[in-house]
Amino acid sequence: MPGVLEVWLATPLLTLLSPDDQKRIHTDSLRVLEEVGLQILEPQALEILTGHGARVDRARQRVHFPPDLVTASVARAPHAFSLFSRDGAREIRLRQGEVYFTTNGYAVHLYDPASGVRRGIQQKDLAWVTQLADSMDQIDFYSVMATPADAPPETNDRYQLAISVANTTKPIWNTAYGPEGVRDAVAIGTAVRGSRQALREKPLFTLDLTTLSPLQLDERQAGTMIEGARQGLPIGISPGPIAGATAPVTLAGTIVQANAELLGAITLVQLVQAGTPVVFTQYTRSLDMASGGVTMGGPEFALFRIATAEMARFYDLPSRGGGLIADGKACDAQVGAEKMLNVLAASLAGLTISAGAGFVDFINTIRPEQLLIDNEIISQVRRLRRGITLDGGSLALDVIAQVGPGGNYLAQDHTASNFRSELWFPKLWDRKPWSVWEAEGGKDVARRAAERLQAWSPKVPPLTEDVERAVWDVVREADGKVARPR
Amino acid sequence: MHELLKTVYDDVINGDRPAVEAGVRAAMEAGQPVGSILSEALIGAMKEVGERFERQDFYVPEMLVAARAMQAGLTILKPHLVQAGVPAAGKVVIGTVKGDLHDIGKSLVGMMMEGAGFEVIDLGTDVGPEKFGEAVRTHKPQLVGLSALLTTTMQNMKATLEALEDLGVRDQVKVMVGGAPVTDVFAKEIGADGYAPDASRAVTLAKSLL
Repeated sequence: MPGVLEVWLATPLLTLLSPDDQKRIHTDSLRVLEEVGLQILEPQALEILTGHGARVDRARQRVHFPPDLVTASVARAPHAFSLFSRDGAREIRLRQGEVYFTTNGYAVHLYDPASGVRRGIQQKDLAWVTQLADSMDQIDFYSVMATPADAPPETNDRYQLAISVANTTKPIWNTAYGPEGVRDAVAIGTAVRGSRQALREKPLFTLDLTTLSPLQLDERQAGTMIEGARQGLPIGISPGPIAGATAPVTLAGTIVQANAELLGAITLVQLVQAGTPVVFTQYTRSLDMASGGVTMGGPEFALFRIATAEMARFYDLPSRGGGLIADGKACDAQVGAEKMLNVLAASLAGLTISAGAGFVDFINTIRPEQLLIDNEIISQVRRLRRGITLDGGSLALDVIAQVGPGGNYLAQDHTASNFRSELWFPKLWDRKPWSVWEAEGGKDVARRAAERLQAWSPKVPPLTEDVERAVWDVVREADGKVARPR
Repeated sequence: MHELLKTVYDDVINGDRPAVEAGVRAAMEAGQPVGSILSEALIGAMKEVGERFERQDFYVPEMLVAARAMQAGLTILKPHLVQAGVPAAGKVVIGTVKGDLHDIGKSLVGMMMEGAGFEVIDLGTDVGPEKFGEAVRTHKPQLVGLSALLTTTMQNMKATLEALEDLGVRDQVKVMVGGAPVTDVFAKEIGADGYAPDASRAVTLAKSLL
């Protein structure tokens, strides 16, 4: 039973779908899973699901999920779990009622503010942006930001995790390529924590996996999920259907389909290992009908985030989605408005994790100055979520009486002792008088952020030599296996 | 800095008024020179407060409670300073100009000026040009500070400067102006000697004008 405080914390500030709407999305998702089913291109997964009473059409690799099996499996996923920092001291508790903010994954480009050029991301760039994200006070944990082009494609996941553990102390939202990738990730985590048992007790990273919309699980993703569950790793399953292309153009239809994909994958994971922590993630988005490309910055993206938050609450699972995503490319008003729209909707609706900090251009390009701007946006959102405190001290009747008509409150002790907690303070936003702002060069926020960036330097302490060596041994061994002909 | 002075210094920064009063008395009883208590502990602390404010480590309310704590210490010290012949850093007459009832910004400047060791004569709000003139004649300050919050009342800064001219006292004082709508350019246009955008920078300006 949650206490009063927990109930209050879990109450969203923004709601969209009524309890009946949520129930309907749930039952319609179950119908899709039973009647249409998921195509799963992984033989083990078919065995596991058949063994638990799912009807499998082997010719089409199509799994029809019995509704009771789905609801019973989803109910086995824990309502809360924790990730821990590299030194094990900081805990991030993922559950309904908390909100967290993070970067995003899978960028292939980096914009260099000094030269104004966008280029492919190399390993050293990934190390640098990881350090930068680590230094942002509003970023709660680190989502591995990029796929470096100078690392081999087959073992890129090992490089990503190795670079991440060396350059951030924050918990890591990570991915893995297939069962061997999962085992290598565990080996890297074990090297950092000191033992397999220590990694089990204090998880350092998750596995970020996805479905293949519409209604498919490919061999690698399904194989990774199965091995991840066997290894007891927390798993984020993240369908990203595109309304109008890989999902119905109607938002409700896309939500139902994404929900079905997610419930199907959670069912598989829980059948492999009941109690595997999962994060209810959706990157539902829509097609830009002008170009045939994707859009992730518009109001429907914000509506999808609210729906994800609400359906996750329906199942009482921690949730995740793109909260700081934008279509725009520059650090300009468009990107700011897109990000604020999405993160505000997501956070007020109670999405546990909003991802996307530091990204522009959908999820393609890292823009380092934008990370500083996003840090400021997140700080504002946190203040907004704290709401208005109503108690004897905050209602301030004593002070109102004491100051009286025509007086001023500025010199009151009540002001001095409460203003820091009541009022929000910018680090990057400009509030100076015009004359001062002008005298300092009349700079916009992008310029100020770029200048801060120039003054910034990496500070994350390196791993010990032994750990560093053990981590890279795992990477090299994986490369060796790939190079060897089978 | 002597340990007793350092305590007062820290208490001023923390805005702990009773502690500053007790600390100043303790320092005097221990035989610390009143000039040192003033310059090292009180003015030194307010200088640090001003720097913190400019770095945005401190905000207006914290600057105010520190200034109030400093004033409390100064009140105890004052008779002894006169006796010991310790001069003030300078004398300044301040006020919000005619038609304008806004008090906060001007008072803040006054407190910070006191914190820097100035003797401050605060004429209050809605102060007519002739009243500023009289005050200059009576108190013989080196500085006059004019405040206005409204675009409509800032024109009265010009009228005040003209009144000082008419009374023949304009060249005896430096005039500084400030307030939300006031700019550097406006200050030059009306013939003021300086403009500061906030209370801490007003102190720096005042020192540079002496």
